Amino acid sequence: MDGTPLIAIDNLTFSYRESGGQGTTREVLHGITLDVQRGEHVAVLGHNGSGKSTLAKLLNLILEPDSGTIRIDGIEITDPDLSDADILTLRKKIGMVFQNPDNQMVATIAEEEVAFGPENLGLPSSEIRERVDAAMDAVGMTAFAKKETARLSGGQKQRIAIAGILAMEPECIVLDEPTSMLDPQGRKDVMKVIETLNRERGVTIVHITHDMNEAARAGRVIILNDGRIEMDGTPEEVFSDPDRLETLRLSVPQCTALMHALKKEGLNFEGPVARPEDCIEALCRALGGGR
Amino acid sequence: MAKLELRNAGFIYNPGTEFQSVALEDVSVAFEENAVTGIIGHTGSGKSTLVQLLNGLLTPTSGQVFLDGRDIHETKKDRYAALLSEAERSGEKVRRHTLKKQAASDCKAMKRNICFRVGLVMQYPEAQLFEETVRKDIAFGPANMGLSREEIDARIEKVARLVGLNERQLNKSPFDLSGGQKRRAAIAGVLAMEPDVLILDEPAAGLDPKGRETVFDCIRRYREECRTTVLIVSHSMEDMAAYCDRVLVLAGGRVLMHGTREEVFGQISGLETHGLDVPEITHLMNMLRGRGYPVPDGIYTVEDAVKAVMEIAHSVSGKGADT
Repeated sequence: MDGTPLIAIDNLTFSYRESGGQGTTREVLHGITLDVQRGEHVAVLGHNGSGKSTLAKLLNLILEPDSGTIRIDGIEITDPDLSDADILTLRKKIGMVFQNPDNQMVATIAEEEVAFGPENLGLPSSEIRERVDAAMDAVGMTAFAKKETARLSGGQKQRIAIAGILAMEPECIVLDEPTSMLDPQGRKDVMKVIETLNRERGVTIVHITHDMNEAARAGRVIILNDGRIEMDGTPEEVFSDPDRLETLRLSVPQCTALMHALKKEGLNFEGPVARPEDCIEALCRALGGGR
Repeated sequence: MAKLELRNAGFIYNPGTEFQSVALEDVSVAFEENAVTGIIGHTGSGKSTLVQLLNGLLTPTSGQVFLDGRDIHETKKDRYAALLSEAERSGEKVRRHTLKKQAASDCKAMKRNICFRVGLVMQYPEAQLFEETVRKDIAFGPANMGLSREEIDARIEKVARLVGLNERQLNKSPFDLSGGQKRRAAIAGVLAMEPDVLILDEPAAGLDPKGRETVFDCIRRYREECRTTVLIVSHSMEDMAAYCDRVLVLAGGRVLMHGTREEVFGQISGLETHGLDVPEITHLMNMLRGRGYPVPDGIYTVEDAVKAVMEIAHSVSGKGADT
């Protein structure tokens, strides 16, 4: 494998046209520069209106930037001379999953929904069958293949939406708040699918979320603030300063908050933690005397 | 007396057709005055149906809904019978005709006022904003209640302060507000009706952490100032633990648990099999207990966890000094 990042964003800016204004625009991204390597699991955090969703839509050319470039696999997708066929190839590399699965469902039966993408790629039917079965299996929804999508729970629908993207065999999946409408079980299921795809299949994940616990599970956390990258690092690095996060309208996972509060009380820990399993080890070491 | 109560209430969608589905079955639950109750339950457990029964949007297919001890769907005949027996008991002489008229007007008033007295903030309520300015939007409910101009203005001022919207924002178009401000403007519209009971369905969904906190602080301020009964439907166990006194758990259209926060979260295993969960901090404290530390039960917030861990730290270091 060469060293070309899967996604390379350079000095990207984007403005929305103001509603009702006479050609007035509002810039929401002010020069984003960012590389995402193959196989990374990146969480993107940021307050409402910080530009997270806009960035996601730019990655898939749903929106076009004002200036700056995006390279996917070394190919500049923002190049105006790009042919439609090239755009299609690029879109296959990056799949998107949105907040409300109902908004992206087109078929009535679960497996037909998953087959929609590969069918549109013009693949032979035997290959479509294989891909659909594999995708349903990957999200743990094989038992629901013949079910009506309307009768599935939110978490199940979201997993079908992910399977539909997966069947296109993308190298990267961009998920925009995929769990915010789900109950705790639905969240857990979707998070598990995201992590398995990343770890076992090497699918690159860009996960936009408001949930700090979910962000803590990523390998890298990027924080957007008012259209700029404010922080970029491991969850432990990013969550090491709760006060700074608060000024960015964010918070830290509960276990990180606990560790910080304990430190203030005078209990000593080595290094910041962001995940419950690391937190418990650090707690036991700090307390000593446990069994 | 309970403020709002369901007695053996059930609801069936499309009864008698092949699409018939039972959403709620034999639900009896009482919500006490001036308490914040969290309603949890996984998708399809009947939360939304329950909430719509409580404010009269849906009529139960069996059982009854009581507000301040009165059946909100009481028929004229039943109301008349109730008034008659009341009159007989007090020995007062009243004409039957007057009582009949009274019964009819009582029932009409109940039908008309139930949605004002039990205010419902739906999911993503900002989608319902429609007026030219935030001020006009907030005034819509009170104006429909037939309040005077002065009273409406006074209420707008009060709720704007409660939800933290300033004069400039009140005069803006709701569509020029940020996501969190829009949400608070929509909530203000319901608060302005000064309902006896306030119900919020996922009031903080889709907001950033700061936005969530602001919305919940608004609810807390409103409740402290107006001393009303509040019901909050949410999937976030952390928010439930932080803001609710009591928790109602629905599963498969029935009440699984109803009690204080401590009583309900104390039964984790019961919650987990129903696709629910306890706050992350509670899990963490349970893990610590599993490692042999004397962690007390009933820790649902980070503050309580800090206290518990520091106590353990002190007792461990104390023992260390002895040896």
